[in-house]
Amino acid sequence: MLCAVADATTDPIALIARVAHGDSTAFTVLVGQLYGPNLRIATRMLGSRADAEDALQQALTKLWTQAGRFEPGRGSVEGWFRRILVNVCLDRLRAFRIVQPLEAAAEVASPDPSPFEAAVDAALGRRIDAAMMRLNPRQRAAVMLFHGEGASMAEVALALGTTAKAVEGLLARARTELSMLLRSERVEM
Amino acid sequence: MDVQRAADIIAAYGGDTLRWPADERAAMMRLVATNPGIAEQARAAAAMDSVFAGWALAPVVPGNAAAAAARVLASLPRRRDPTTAPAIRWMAGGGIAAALVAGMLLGGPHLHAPTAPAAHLVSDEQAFATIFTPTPEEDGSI
Repeated sequence: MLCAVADATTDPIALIARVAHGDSTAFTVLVGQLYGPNLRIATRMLGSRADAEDALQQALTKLWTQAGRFEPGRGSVEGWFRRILVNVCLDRLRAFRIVQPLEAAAEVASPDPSPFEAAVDAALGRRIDAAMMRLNPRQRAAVMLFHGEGASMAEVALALGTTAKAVEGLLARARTELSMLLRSERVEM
Repeated sequence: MDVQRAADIIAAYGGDTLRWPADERAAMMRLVATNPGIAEQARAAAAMDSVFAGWALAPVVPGNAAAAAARVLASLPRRRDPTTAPAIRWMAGGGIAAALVAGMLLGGPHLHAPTAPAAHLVSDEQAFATIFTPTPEEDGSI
């Protein structure tokens, strides 16, 4: 009995059904579940904490206004919201040619055993961040979802509104280009 | 499974055998075991997988989810909240209706005064057509 009550108050599908009827309490609980992982996705996609928070706010607004469009049979709430967020991020990257200070690099945690190793780790982290920001945004999104979120090829394709075959191409090109960028002098830190 | 397809799979999916397409995994693993070139590609891809995962999963400073939710709710018109008791909604509706009736009784004559800027521009016939558009059956009875 207690489990059933807990499920009803935390199950994302139950929550989004309540959000669709204007339940602000359910919305706040659902945002609590979605916020952390999706803030990371937006930060990696956009390369800026401030832009990521703006994009996430925009996506959350869509969550509130479009909750009624969610169809449980077509996937999870998390996947549906991730798709909204990725599209918001891609739209923002399309609208603005964002030049990043790569502030996100400063947020990379480093379990540093020594100051020297910490410096090396931080430098490598910044170099990787810079290289990732040079990738095509759709490649970056595919990498984020496939390697970061553990999404399947089909789930990445759904999030990007394309085919699994096209995602294979995005990931393969991302891999090739990142290798080249990390080897080249073109990556600015 | 030919070598080119194996190379394509490694390029797209990386070096983690568990991420390879389920229907091609067994053939891929046989090829990795027998072809040193493919095995090397898989090893190199696994190293790049670590770079990708490290980038994607690097923690970010936590945000304030409750504040974000509150900002969304504050910035938009509230939809009908199902937690509001129906009786309260009926009482609120009754109050509005009562206010309208009182307004009509007390201020009724003034409603007909030509104070609206555009009122004199619309003839009575036009105003009627705007308010009441009859169906064909009603049209015959007018």
